[in-house]
Amino acid sequence: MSKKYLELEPEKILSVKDLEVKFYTYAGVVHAVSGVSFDVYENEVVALVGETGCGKTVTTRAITRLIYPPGHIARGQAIFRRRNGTVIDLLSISEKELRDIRGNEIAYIFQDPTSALNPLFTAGEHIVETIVAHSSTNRKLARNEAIRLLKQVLIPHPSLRVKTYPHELSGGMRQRVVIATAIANKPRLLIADEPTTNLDVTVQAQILDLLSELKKQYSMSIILITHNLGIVAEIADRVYVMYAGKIVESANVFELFEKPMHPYTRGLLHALPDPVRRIEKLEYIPGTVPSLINPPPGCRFHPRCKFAKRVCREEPPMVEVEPGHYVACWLYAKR
Amino acid sequence: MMAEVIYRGFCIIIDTIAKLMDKIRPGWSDRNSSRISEWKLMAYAYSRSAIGIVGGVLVSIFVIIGIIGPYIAFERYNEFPASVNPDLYFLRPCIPPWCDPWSENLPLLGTDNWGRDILSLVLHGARISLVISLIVVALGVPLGIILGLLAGYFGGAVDEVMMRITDVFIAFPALILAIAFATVLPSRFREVLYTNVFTREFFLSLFALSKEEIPQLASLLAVIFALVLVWWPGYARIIRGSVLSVKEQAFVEAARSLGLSTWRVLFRHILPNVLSPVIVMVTFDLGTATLLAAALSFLGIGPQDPVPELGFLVSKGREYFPDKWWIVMFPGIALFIIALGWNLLGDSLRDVLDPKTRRSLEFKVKGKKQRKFKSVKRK
Amino acid sequence: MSLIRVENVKKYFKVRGSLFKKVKAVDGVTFMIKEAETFGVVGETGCGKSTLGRVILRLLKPTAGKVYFMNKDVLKLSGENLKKFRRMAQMVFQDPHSSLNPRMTILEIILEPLKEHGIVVDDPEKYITEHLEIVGLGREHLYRYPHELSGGQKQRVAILRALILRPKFIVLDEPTSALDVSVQAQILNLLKDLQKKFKASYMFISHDLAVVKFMSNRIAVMYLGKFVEIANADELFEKPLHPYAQVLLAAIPIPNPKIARERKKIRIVGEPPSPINPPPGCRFHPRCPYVMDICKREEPPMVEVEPGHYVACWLYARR
Repeated sequence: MSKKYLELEPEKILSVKDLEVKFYTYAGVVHAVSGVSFDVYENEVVALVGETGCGKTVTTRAITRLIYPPGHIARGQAIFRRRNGTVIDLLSISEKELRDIRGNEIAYIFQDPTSALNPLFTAGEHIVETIVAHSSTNRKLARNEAIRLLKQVLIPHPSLRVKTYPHELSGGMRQRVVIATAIANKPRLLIADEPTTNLDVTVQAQILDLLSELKKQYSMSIILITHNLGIVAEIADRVYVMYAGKIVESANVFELFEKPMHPYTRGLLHALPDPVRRIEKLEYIPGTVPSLINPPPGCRFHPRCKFAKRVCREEPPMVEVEPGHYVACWLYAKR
Repeated sequence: MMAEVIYRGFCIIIDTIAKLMDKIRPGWSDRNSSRISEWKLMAYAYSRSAIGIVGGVLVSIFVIIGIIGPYIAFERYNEFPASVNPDLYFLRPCIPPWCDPWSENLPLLGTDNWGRDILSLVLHGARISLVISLIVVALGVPLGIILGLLAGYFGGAVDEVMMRITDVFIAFPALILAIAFATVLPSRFREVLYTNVFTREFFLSLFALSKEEIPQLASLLAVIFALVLVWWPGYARIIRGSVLSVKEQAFVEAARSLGLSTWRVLFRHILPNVLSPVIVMVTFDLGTATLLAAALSFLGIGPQDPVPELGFLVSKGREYFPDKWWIVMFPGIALFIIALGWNLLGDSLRDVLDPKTRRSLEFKVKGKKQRKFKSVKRK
Repeated sequence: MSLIRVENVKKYFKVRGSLFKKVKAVDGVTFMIKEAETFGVVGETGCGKSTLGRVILRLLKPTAGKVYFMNKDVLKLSGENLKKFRRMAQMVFQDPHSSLNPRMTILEIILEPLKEHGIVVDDPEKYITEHLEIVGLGREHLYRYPHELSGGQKQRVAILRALILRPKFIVLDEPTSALDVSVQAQILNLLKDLQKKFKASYMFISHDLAVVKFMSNRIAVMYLGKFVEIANADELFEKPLHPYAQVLLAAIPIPNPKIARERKKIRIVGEPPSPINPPPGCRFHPRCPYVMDICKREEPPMVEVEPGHYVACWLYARR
């Protein structure tokens, strides 16, 4: 129970182990996340890729226990190194200690910037609130800091924009305010949940540039959740591919795009229309994502997999096929 | 346990209906399997709602009494036993644990100033209240729905005019309208009722009144008429609101792009999608209409002696209150139960009929484990 | 042979609470669509691409301009002729979750257009089942309700509803943007197959350049209510001429980390201005890296730089 059992390699900042989240709904128990483990190293962008409902958002929300009934974290550990060097399990510390970490050492950026901002607060007030909540600075200093932050996220005329309300800002500007709020306390870990999904391509490119710039400046780690493999290719260092509540493959980004191994990853990559080449027909994955109330036994992808064998009805182990390239598939595992 | 029994009961009813339909039209249950499972889902959701069950029980008791009440009442409301035997007026109630009505030879709920049995009067009054509320809602709601549908769909000037009329009717106090009608309308209604045999017999049997009460029936109808007039605007408003949001949905545009006529779009695509809040509101309103009608009779607008309208009974009993408390008490309790029943039922129907809440109804996880995160196991 | 001809179409919306302000959603667009081709329209949120699609189908009345369908003026159609047009020109909407009436079964949804246009089918169940199979669904879906289907399945139903009348022209308004990648691929392939089978022309509206490229023969790039460039799909991607088209292409995330990180990054600042008060002259000039004096004053004409490749930019126009 005590903290002395917790260990974390020095270069890691977060290590999630065997996380399991369930939702108790009328229709039955939804196994949203089943046994997910992943690591985040210092100063890296980790991408969590998967389709709608694969559990990527739930996973990252569970890290700081932002799961509300009917949701329930059934099992797992999220070992995190705090700024002061202590190693803790985010899933077992007190709610008070956790509040101290949320928005301070671990910050979130959510998909929809419109609903992430309170319409009654100005852009500046959002940032000031976050700073004041986690430090003893006075509001005036915090306000100056807010202007500096808005400048940093490339908002023109920051000293004027601190006073504007969210509805006066465009979608891209709002997302910049959200980002400024998230980095206000110089977090060690930034969790960006589909940060550009609601934005236009030109604005999306701007925001992605901004995120990688901020990562360097603040030397923080970023967990990027997305369904868009193009975005992953643009800024991620390492990638975890999720399918139906489980991680099926993880690798360095170059390795993954060059040598995808899991049939699902391959299908996903081939299903994308490539803007550079001329293609007559897209390859696609037949069928649809399974219900997580009664997930298929064993490998959850096997009902849609063209390589499925009898053995796939058993749980495939996660094997390291090449250094740093892990895959959970019977094609690569020895029985 | 109770919930399970109720759920099973509903399932048996639904299955029986499905089997019957299958006999009439072969393959029906196959084609409607989705609908049947949705019904069962609703039945399940309803059976898990305690207030819904209490409301349902109260309402069914009321409805059953409303239907058979006048026939099981052992005294007619227009018999006055005290005129034969003066000892019979103001008999006190005799309720079993405290008093034995058989050996004491006393009525269960006491008698009034004419020696009429209060229980019989309440049983009869339930019928009158039920019929009033049903007529008010049955006439007011379709009117409101149609007007709201037109205003919401066509928008612009149509909307503007209709909504301003609605505002006027909402602002108009029901009471004043009812007083005005009560003075003007009854004589007209009386004429109709005297001349038109069919209408007369229809309404007399509906309220289970005898022929001598035609003047009272006329003022009862005046009250109903006033209530209908103030009833539709609420529906026009909520329907208009729902229509405004539904008509923006892509399926309405899709229907128009297929070249569907306006009427088809309105009644096939929009109407079914705005009805579920109405069903809930109707449930609440059946209670409210009963209370409002009673309030109007309490104020002396509406039927007079000897019609046992519940509100009127309360108003009459007031003269003898608090000495003869039972004359006010039992009709009052009846009204309370009716209103409570409809409201509880409406509350639970709101959840049951909303597909979103229905699908996300939670299994209640036992204990507080979930909130305190104590169940997080460590290796 | 042109199937659809659009001439200088404009659609302005009134701004609530203002007498004079107008949102110029579509502001003078001219183009034509050939038979059995896919014409892609690509642009960012609010550029007016969806409005354009609706104007062509006469779901919205244009403020000015003309739309011809098989050489007939669509805006002057009425009665039987309008009904015929509705039958020939269909639309598939962006969000399959809201484009199907939740109170109707799949059978009813697909049968409705047939009924409305007086087409009698002997055995509706059999007829619809056959068609459901064409779009990859089956008999078991006949009596389902939309909420029982997945997003991709719903979109298949919506596509079938549009196709059941054998239209000659279909507007596809972001048909896959609400779907996942693996499902998107299924739907895009399906749309291509159906086009071969039923010989319909598509107008494919999307913000996703890669998807538009995959689907279209010709592509128009739209910015603030105007087309800035029209070209063959391949040509547009190889040689984008308009600075906005170049920026847009440079901003698409490419699913290949090597190419993505090595390619030249052309970025522009800011976001599209409001269509209520579009900038004078060329609408892109406040964000354009090559802006010249004339761009601020005069609107560039649409010129044919190479056969079939049109661009509206002062860099290519002669004064």
